[in-house]
Amino acid sequence: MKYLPIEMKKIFKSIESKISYVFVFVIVLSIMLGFKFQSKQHISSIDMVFITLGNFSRYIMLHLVMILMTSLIVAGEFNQGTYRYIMLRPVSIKNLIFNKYIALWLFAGMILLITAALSFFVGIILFEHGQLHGEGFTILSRPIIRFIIFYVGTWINAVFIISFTTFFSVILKHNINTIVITFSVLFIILFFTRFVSDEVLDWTPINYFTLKPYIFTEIIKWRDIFFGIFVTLVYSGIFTGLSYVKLKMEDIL
Amino acid sequence: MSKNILEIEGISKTFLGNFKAVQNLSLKVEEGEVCGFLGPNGAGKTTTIRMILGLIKPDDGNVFIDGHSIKEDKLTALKKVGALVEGPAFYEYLSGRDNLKAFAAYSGDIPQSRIEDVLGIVGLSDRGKDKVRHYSYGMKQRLGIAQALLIQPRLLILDEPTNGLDPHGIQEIRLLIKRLSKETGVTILLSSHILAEVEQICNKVAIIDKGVLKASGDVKQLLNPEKKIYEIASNDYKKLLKDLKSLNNITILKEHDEKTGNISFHTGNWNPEDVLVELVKKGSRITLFAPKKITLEDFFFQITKEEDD
Ligand SMILES: Nc1ncnc2c1ncn2[C@@H]1O[C@H](COP(=O)(O)OP(=O)(O)OP(=O)(O)O)[C@@H](O)[C@H]1O
Ligand SMILES: [Mg+2]
Repeated sequence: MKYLPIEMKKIFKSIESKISYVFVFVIVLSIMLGFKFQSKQHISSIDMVFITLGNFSRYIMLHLVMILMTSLIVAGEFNQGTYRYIMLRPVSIKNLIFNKYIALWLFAGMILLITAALSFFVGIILFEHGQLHGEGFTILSRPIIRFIIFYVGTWINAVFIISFTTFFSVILKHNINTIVITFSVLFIILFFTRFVSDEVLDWTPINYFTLKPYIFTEIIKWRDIFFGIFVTLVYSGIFTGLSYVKLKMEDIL
Repeated sequence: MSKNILEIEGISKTFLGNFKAVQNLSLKVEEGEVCGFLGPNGAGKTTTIRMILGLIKPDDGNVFIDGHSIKEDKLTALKKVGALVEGPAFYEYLSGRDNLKAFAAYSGDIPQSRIEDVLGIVGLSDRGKDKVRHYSYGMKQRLGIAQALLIQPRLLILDEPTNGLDPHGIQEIRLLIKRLSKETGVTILLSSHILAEVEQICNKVAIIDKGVLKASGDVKQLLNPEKKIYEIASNDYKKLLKDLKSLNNITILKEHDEKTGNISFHTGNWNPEDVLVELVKKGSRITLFAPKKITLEDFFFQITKEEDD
């Protein structure tokens, strides 16, 4: 974890991180105002936290933010030329990737936390206090546990986005190209997952769609949730492994 | 006998499509030397430097930095060397100082004071807080050298450090390199395609062309080309050329220089004075006779000529 502070600094001092904050702010407020003026149902401020968090990942807003950040932190090293200056120091590729992942993952956690906190506090102003509602407007118990599952699940999904973008970064070696290509590929994949059955969906990285049925029922289905996390980590491992092997094998130019 | 800080043992690199960028190159650089690595564009200088630093793997051969193999003991070898390869590269949105902090973090334990030291050495102390995006190219080049000095290297490798600078910037960098060598005694390998630069800064030189090491040795011995290539002119140009051609072992390099109209020639095994005497005897009226400030091309001609002799 030696390089974590410097990777964090690269993230937080970048224009991309500032764009992300503004983006989150605008998106969260839009979602909330939309629900305030359109929805006929009674929505509580707690519901609103789930709705914004859900929509934030459902409409791949988190993906967009993380693709932006990962492209900068990973692909950017190649097009800036700084990668060769890192690699002529006693740094192992393994360590470098690991530190970048941790920094990016913490950033994802922070973005999600900002999203949740913002929607909670604005929700208190815009919506009435009340309980958490599930499908068919049933009242759900244990909202805090459910929130934690939703939050952590989405956060773990960020690991997948980071490794997926890292893979394209290592292939394309240019941050703008990586943003465009990764986002397009992800968009196409997500588009096609609309046409597959729930059983197949269980084998995709954990996300809003896979978490939703397990969280918004009275009994929390732990087994399925843990399976989702496992699947996500396997995919992440595969993409990270491929990136690592490519970097390890090739010449540094 | 002093110690070899850099030892290159027969390295080769063939790129895709069977292009031999570097062929069986060996070179030794002793402690404290400033070694010029001279060659025209595309000669294989950067490729060699990349192999020295372990950025690309040679197909053959090995490199030792202060006795540590870059193949078998890369991380230890890298702790001894600072480098500037193919131009400086930085996080443009961070300040100069933050960039150095980043590279210091990747280098291991580098105290904050060292960062201030190297900023001072390259004369950027009061611009350290500015974003690199706002630096001139010369400042980036100097920050690049600061970055290479962070670890107090035994070996400093600079790949065309004056490329792309104006005359003032070039002079600044050359003086900086001279000062570093004098004050810290660091061993330096400096690649360049400018003959005069190597003459000015280095005491050793290695000459590479088309991936092959042509010659290496003392600058004073190797780069004393002025004794061999001469320029000559006369009002009767045609007669002069005819007379010159009639002398054995004289090689005309340029019959008519585009700018000056002078003839340049290689003296071969002649004494320059004797050439002059012979020409005057033959009745040529000489208006100019002087050693030529030669270009790298002339110089390569001379080297290959000597190989033929
Ligand atoms: N990754 C690569 N793939 C294919 N060919 C390459 C690669 N890198 C370099 N070359 C070729 O190898 C030759 C030597 O290149 P190199 O960059 O080492 O030259 P150089 O001496 O540094 O030249 P310059 O003065 O222009 O910097 C060139 O012809 C170049 O096109
Ligand atoms: Mg070069």
